[in-house]
Amino acid sequence: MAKISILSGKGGTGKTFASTNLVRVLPNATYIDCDIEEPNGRIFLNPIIEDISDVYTKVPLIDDNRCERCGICSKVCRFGALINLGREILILDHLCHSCEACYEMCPMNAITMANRKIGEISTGVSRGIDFIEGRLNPGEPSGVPIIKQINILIKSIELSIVDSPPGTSCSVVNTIEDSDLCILVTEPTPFGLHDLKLAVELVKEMDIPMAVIINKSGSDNQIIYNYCMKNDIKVLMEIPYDKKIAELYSRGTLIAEADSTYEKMFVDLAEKILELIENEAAGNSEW
Amino acid sequence: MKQLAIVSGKGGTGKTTIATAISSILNNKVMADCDVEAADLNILLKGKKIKASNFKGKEIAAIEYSECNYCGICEDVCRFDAIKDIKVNPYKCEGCGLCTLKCPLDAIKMKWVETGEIVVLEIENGQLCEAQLSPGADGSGKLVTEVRKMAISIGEEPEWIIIDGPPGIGCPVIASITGVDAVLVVVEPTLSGFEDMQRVIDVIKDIGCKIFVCINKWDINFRVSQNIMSFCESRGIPVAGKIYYDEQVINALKETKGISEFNDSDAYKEIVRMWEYIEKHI
Ligand code: SF4
Ligand code: SF4
Ligand code: SF4
Ligand code: SF4
Repeated sequence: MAKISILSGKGGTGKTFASTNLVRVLPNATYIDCDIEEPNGRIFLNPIIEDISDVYTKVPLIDDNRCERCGICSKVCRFGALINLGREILILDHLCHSCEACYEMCPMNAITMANRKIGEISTGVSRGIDFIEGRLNPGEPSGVPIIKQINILIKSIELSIVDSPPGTSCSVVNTIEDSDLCILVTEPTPFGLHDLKLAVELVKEMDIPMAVIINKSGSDNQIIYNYCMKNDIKVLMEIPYDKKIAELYSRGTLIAEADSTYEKMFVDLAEKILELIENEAAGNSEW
Repeated sequence: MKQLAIVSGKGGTGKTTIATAISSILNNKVMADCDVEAADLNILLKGKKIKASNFKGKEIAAIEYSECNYCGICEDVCRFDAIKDIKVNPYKCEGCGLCTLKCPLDAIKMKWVETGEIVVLEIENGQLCEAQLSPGADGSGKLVTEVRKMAISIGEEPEWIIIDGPPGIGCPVIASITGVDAVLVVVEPTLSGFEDMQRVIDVIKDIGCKIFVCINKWDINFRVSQNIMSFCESRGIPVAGKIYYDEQVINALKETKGISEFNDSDAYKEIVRMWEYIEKHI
């Protein structure tokens, strides 16, 4: 069992590009799209979806016959999701964090927790590659419940390549939790470096081994190398700045399938990654 | 005062380049960098810090061990598995307070913790407000709201507040666009970009403000660009700008300069033209 998470401090650096091509060349790997607000892996892998299951969070449901309108539930809710109107308690589903404090504290046992759909998880196959995708409904405040559910699935998957959400927030923390390796995709610009630093800080804090891929590599790679050297982070791959990549990407085509040079680059990357994970498992963290 | 938010569904579409160019056009404005997970407008705007304040955006549980008898009730009631071996994991604690209500010895208190920093910078002809969410923290939506409040309070009756929005379609995006006069959606003509754009437009439509679209790198895939155009037409959304792929943009970024410093570049001219259109139709 191994979990490899691909992330970047910011979106649009080639995270999905790297993950989809990597999964293409890795035997027995499963592609997992945890970029639940903008899951794009599907466009490149074209999976046949076999199953869609809804993801729910829990929200309180008040039984009017039992409720005495005492207002305790609305007092204990720290998220403003229950508003005491006197005659009734108004429930604002979108603000609820499913903490169940209201349910626990209601003196009349008038509250039950009911399911509310916030998104779905699709599973399928793309030419031999297992595919899992989480998708959050627009406007939902948090996709963490979807990510947690996917994490349960990951536990029984041989090799997971996880396309993580952008940024450094709690949904990223939940996505990369328990990873064996984090791969940070960056670009050799001051922007890339700035965002890379944020991501490194987070991964360090979570104590997960990491390595870097430079996308749109070119004459300015040194700024990334300098930083990585100083922080003891290995650079696994340089993806050149190539119009062909942009063009294939815009059409939703995998370059590892369309071009043998790139295929080889990703095969090399896959080998390096597997080696890193083995070393890590063997307790050799000197890399 | 008018507020325009620039969003893109996904990062890396040229949003920052466009925001910086618009900043250079305007004489009296406050820029608000609302991508609080990776604020980088200032790399180009190069402002001078004039003010910084901590943002305490979240309460988490804190156990007073001198009063605790290690009964473990708090651990059992927490729905987020945030307490383990009678220790609170600050990343997992949602701040719901249930443990404080259930602790028989009243040994748990909620305390405010810092979740980010808000900074104000002096830039050419205005100010820039930005924030950085602490790594792994949540509540970026709240921080976005704080940045916008700061942006409104800091300027001397600015004519414009330009908001550089975060990626995605979640809570921070909604916080960035709620109450603005218009939203400019920047999209690159790729299949994934087109899909992201549609999702973000659905969210904006829900909130109900005026939308403009700008297609960046318009010529990298004409077919997708055409599809975006037809989509916008069918939804009654004006395409305010079509920026051609321009090497000058990459050169400018490499030198961490705004495209406005390359003011004879096609990209800059098109952004100026687009801005005139937006100003007129907003
Ligand atoms: S705590 Fe229970 S009884 Fe009191 S108002 Fe809420 S639901 Fe009704
Ligand atoms: S479950 Fe928690 S957040 Fe939701 S309404 Fe009840 S107290 Fe509020
Ligand atoms: S419930 Fe209170 S007394 Fe019991 S372990 Fe938790 S903090 Fe300590
Ligand atoms: S405040 Fe809520 S989430 Fe935090 S430890 Fe207590 S019960 Fe758990």
